[in-house]
Amino acid sequence: MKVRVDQSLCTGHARCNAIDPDLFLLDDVGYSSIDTVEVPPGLEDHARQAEANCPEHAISIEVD
Amino acid sequence: MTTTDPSVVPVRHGFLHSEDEGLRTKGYPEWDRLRNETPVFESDYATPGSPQPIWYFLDYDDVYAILRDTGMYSSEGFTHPDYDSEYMMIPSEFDPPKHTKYRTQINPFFSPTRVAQMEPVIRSVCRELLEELAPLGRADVITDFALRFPTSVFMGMLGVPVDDLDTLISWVHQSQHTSHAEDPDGRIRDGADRAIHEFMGAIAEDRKKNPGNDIVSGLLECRVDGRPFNDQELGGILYLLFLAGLDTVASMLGWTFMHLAQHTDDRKRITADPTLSGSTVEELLRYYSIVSITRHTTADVEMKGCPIKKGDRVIVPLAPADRDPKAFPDAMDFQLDRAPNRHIAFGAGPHRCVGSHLARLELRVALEEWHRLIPDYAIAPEADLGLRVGMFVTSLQSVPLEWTPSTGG
Repeated sequence: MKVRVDQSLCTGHARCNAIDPDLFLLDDVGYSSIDTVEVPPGLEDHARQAEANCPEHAISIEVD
Repeated sequence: MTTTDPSVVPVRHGFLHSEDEGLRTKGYPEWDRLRNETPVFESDYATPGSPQPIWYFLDYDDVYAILRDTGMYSSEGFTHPDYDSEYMMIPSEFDPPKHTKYRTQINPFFSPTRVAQMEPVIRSVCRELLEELAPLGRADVITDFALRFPTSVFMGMLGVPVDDLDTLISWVHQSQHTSHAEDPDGRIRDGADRAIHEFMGAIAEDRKKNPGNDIVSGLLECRVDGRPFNDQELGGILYLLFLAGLDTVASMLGWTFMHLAQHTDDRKRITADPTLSGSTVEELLRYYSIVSITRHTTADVEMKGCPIKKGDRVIVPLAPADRDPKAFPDAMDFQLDRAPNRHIAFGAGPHRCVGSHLARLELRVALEEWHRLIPDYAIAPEADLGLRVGMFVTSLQSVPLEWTPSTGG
């Protein structure tokens, strides 16, 4: 599973980071700093929660 | 043709949310009724300063789309829609790309990391206020706590003593809780806004000579187009931080303690398990979204069948959007562990509330500290909560609570 954050949509709510701060890294001012990352095994649920929780609909999941 | 013809946009004559009797007396359920009956409607409410029609959008998807489309739906001039004012909230009243230049300078002061570092100070401010209240057995959440807590935190950020707390609170009240009917020419609101600017201006002048670790000193170091903020810009930024940071958190605290006083099961759950405080804050923000946002169009546009002309006002109240059953399963159920909870109580798009992380922290700390010291309470009999639907913020003017003081020991 891969998770992708569309930087053009992120406006810094940081809700993804609240769900998993290691998977959803932020830049210095609190905007998402990741593009597409591989979801480590066991954290698929965190990725799905973040996708459903993002107020800007900026997060999407790609299943291999 | 009948009135249910979907090609005709319904008109609610003379409707303005901040002057509507139904909203004032029934509150949030009235927003639900309006959204269910007319998710989109036109109002012919007009003032001499704003003769254009107003278009209301109440569904989550429409509110979200409008807030993101800053090119079509402009924020310019929204702070004072019904009278001329020289005061401007910066950068809220700028549209991208100009907005972006200012916003990127202000973001660092309110980043999640910066805010997290403030938690010990915020918690001790909160504790100090509550330790005074707990033995009394009664308090008005609004005047005794909700206004004082975020205002004290903000004064700490400004690096000023809390001696002037009551004066600052009275300016917030005059500026934000005075209706058009009470103040048709804006004189009362303008006077408070001037006082806020003079207070902030004096702090800025001092910090130019004596810089410190406070936010004003930090803002003086910022650069737009390679230059510092000028006095008018600095005044507009501090004016925004002052009003947006104090009135909103205070209002949310009012709804929070009203809800928890009335819903014993929810109160017992978060008292027994404070780790639920974070998700409870999110559900409170969704269920009692307090903010209504005004935009105006930069061109003629058709949106959901509405023939909107350039310059018309568009109002998107966040409450009906965040209670929209099309966006939230069982939207009418308050679920303090709701997940996911994709509410937009802090707005959406580039103008997303810059203080959202600070607000969340203050609300969570308030929940945790209050219930540690005062776990059980009820609304005083015959209380008049004084619901006030403002142009921007919907709040309660009084939430008197009673409890049995702990005997200590």
